[in-house]
Amino acid sequence: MNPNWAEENLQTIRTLMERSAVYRRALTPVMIFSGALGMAGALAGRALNINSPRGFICFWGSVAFVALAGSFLLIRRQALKDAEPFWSPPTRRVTQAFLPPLAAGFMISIAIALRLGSAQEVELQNLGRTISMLWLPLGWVILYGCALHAAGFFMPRSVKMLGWAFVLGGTVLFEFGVPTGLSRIDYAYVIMGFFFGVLHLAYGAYLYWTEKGKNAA
Amino acid sequence: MSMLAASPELSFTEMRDALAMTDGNLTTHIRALQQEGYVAVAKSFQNRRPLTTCALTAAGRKAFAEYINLLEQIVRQTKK
Repeated sequence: MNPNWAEENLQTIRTLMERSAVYRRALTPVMIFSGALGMAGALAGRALNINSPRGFICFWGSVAFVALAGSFLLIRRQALKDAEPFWSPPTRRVTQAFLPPLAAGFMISIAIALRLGSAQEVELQNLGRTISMLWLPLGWVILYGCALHAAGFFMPRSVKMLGWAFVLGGTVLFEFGVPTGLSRIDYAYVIMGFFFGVLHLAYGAYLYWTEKGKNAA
Repeated sequence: MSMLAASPELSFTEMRDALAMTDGNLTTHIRALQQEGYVAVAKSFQNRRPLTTCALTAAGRKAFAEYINLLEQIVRQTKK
């Protein structure tokens, strides 16, 4: 009998487990936290009257940073609670999937922010301030949807559907102008509050109730 | 448990055929795991035929991972 038989079989089992592991860590609290932050950000940004494109980018960049930091802490807390490694193979795969679209969104936003002068026009497209205000949130929504969809291959299937909702929603809204009765800056905040606030909260609530149902069964 | 740990979910017939077990034998094992909260069983229909699928619960995944860790420790100890 092969003396390493037991070790090799255990290694095979462990490899198969890790490959099939779907990233489930702390998704519900992360979504609820991010959703609450998105809603609060939309209300706060509007209340603080942050109207310039550069201010808009800096404000939402800060909100995104807080969301990422909070999500990191939630995930780490759950990993410690379950005595699991934080930087597990599923975590690595999800991070790798998220990076390209998020990096693209970050770099495009930085490029636009750096090019904005006192006239607050978008030099690249020469379209004027108010247009750039709208293209920023919609671009972020679409790129974030792409990130969700990519990560969804290693996460519960519903994450991919959420990604599609972001991509399709952002794309469709590009076709329509600003609704009557709403200013462009208000519409930009509505877009951010809806996609990064309401949708995240709704998805978090969905995850909470479906997980509760599964555990009860 | 190894089969379920390697897949998000498996049908009853897939497990029965892979493990070469009888229906009754497999049902007994699944029921025991279900009672411990390690396996979740879902019944649905596919092409108008009943379909029973099984998946590990979070508790089941954790328990199995601990079991594998323990076995690996034992193997390492015996090698020393």
